[in-house]
Amino acid sequence: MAEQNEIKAEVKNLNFYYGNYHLLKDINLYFKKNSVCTLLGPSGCGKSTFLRTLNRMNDYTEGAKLTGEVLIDGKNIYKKSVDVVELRRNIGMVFQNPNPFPKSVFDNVAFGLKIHGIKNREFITERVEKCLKYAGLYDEVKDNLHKPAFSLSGGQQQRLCIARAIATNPSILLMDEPTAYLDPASASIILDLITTFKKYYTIIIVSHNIQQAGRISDYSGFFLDGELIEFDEAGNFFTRPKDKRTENFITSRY
Amino acid sequence: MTELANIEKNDGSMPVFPVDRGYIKRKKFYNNIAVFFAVTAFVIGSFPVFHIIYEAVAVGHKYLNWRFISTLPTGFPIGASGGILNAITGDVYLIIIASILAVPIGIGTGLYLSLFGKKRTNSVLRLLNELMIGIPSVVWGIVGFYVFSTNAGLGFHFGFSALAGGFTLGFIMTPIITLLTEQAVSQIPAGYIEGALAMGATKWQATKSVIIKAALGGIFTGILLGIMNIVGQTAPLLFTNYYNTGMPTGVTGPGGAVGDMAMLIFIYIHEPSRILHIKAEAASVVLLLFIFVLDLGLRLISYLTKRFLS
Amino acid sequence: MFNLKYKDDLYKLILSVFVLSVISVFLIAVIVILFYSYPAIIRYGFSFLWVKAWNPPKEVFGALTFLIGTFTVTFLALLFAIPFSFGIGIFLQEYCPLFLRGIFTVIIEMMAGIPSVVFGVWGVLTIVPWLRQSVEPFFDRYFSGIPFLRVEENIGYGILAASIVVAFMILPIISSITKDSLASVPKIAKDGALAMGATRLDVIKDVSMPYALNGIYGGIILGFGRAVGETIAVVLLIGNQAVIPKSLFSVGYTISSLLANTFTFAVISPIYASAEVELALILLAVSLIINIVGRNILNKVIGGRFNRSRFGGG
Repeated sequence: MAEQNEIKAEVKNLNFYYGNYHLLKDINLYFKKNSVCTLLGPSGCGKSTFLRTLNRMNDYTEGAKLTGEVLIDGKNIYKKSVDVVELRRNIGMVFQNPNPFPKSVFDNVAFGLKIHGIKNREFITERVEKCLKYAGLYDEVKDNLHKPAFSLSGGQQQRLCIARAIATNPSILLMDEPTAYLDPASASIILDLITTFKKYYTIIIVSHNIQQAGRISDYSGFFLDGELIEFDEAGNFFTRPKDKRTENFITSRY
Repeated sequence: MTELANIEKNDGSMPVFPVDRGYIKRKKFYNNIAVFFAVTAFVIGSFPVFHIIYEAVAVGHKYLNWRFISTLPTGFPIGASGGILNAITGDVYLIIIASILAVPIGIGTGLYLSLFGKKRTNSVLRLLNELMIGIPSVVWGIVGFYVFSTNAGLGFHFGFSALAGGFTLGFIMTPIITLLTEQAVSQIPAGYIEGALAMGATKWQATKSVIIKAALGGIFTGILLGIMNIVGQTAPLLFTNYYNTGMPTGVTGPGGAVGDMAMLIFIYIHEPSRILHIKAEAASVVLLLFIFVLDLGLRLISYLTKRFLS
Repeated sequence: MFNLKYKDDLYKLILSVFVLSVISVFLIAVIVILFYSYPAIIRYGFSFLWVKAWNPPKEVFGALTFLIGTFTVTFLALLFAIPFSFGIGIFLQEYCPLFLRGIFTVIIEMMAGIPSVVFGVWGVLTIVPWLRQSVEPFFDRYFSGIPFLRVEENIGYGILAASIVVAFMILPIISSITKDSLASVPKIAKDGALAMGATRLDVIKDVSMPYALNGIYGGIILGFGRAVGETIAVVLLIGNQAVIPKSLFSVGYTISSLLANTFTFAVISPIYASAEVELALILLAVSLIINIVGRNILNKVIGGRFNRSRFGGG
């Protein structure tokens, strides 16, 4: 296991514009390796946009403009020489709604391997099984690996998406409110998964559920109107927030 | 980026697989090929739009003047001199006659579907409506012949005339207006109509005060779309109207025959005469211009409706 | 209270009259075609479908020549139109920069509005000379040994000219429905694939197509329906000779072009007219079946969303 203090990713003076809107204002923060960082804030505060700048998903948004740097393992991912395909292989992403592809359970997990050129069936089968086991889904679907992914329940679909995201061996996992549309039981399973996963991945989660965030975070940040108001270790963040606005949010006044 | 991709093993049991740069390169290349094909398909596929307009203007431009649209065809073969006034007049006749039939029926049916229809009747009516849209126009022509034109047997015995042709075109126009009216009413925010009904208004009052205003854009779109469709129709008129090179003196019988743009173009291009071919192209420009103006009107309406409804 | 209810009943009654007119227009169409084709159906039975001869003076009527002509033109037009429509739909929805998408879509919709006869004129003045001067000599020189590509008369008119122009006419329908079907793919599913390092092509192949395929089938079916009934452009281009086409460059005849050319003479003889109406009955039946199938597919995929290109100028 890597050292706890190594910095995995760092964001420097990040500004993001969409048309005339200044969506992210001068963001500076870092993510420690093998930690869980939650980004909190009311909806529309820019936290999801921020998450999408970390794997360059905003590249496809027309009219978007970005300044500043995002360093992953010390390299600026917005440099021209960076290959987006490779970058994204290294960064898994889980979305708000479960979004399995219109394929079988097996093919969903294998998708990432296939698009990165793996053709070895045995390797793929072994990897798919392993990822499903990691996501705690294997026992539930092992007899139905070739059924369409849409036949699974919402919670199962979301775990399938997690299995899919880790199949390509990423070192960072981005999660955009992964439990927002799940029932409490399913959400709880996912939260447990996140706590075990930090052994292997650096995890960055966007959330607006303060209880859940408090339960799993090592670090937390608070976004408001495109600004990063506060960023600290979870212990300090939740018990002794420095900024009044953070405190208001944590005590649910937003 | 090597450091990024070749990450250390996260876990003893998950083997890291190497980045296959060649594969990524190939896959991007395939993507570029797909882009190339998509762009080529668009360029070739949309080529006729430009070429049709270009050619029509290039060939027909010397007749694009006021005289051409304000005089009747004369000379030999007929049309060698003079213009297309007979066809423009005829199209006005046909549009008016078709609309007299299609506009009330179309709007009425559309309103019934959205206000009174039960689920089952609605689904049957919608199906009928869409089937009518799909019936080939040459089949409508034959129907129109037997219903309106023929002088033998049952039917209205209008002869080959504006009334027979216009009503046949009305058959084609009706389902389009029905569809658009229903769609327009269904797009009115539910609160508008329910609000009016909840206040004790009858459905008729709701129609008068709310629905007609809110759905007007959609209804007009339907009418314009219907007109756009019928001015281009030739096949139904082959059997229901007799192409008249002069002005009609009535709407039924021998004096009721009218010229029309589509048929004029069809007849001129059939003739082995260069001058008529040139005139066919000039007439095409006029017809296309009319259609594109209607098209522009449609877009303006839908733009304004969107702005004022939201 | 009574008064209010009475008013709405009256309103409903008036609207019902309009509804009944729509239903009766549909029924009249079907009944007229059935009624006038009845004598021919009785006299020729099913042999109508496979007899080749069409000889009005001898009262011998068989539809085979025209059926083959119609379906050859339709299938060739689809064959030409489908790849391009796919490309156009994919281009507009997936690759085209957003600021150009609107204007490019308008161009395709404009194409749907161009009347059939104008397409026909374009075919006569552009496609036919091109075929006659460039394509046919080329095929005559290099492919004359291949049966389906033999050039019999170097005139430009024929199956190929008609198919090319009809292909362009159905292109807007299929491509705009392809575009709409692709647009109905949830963005989040596409994002999921992109976030894993998929290229646009990967997304189209593995995510969008499985979602959109049914809608695209629906578009193809509607395009088929449109091509089968296409009349005026075909009349101008196909050569109008009642022969079974032996090659891409042969002349031929379709049901609709035969009707357009001869129906007004045919009505002089009841059985001749009846045979022609029976041809129209075939067109009607095909169009009804096609539209029922196509509509069901489309409603499932794009929810009956209004698509302008479905009403082209006839």
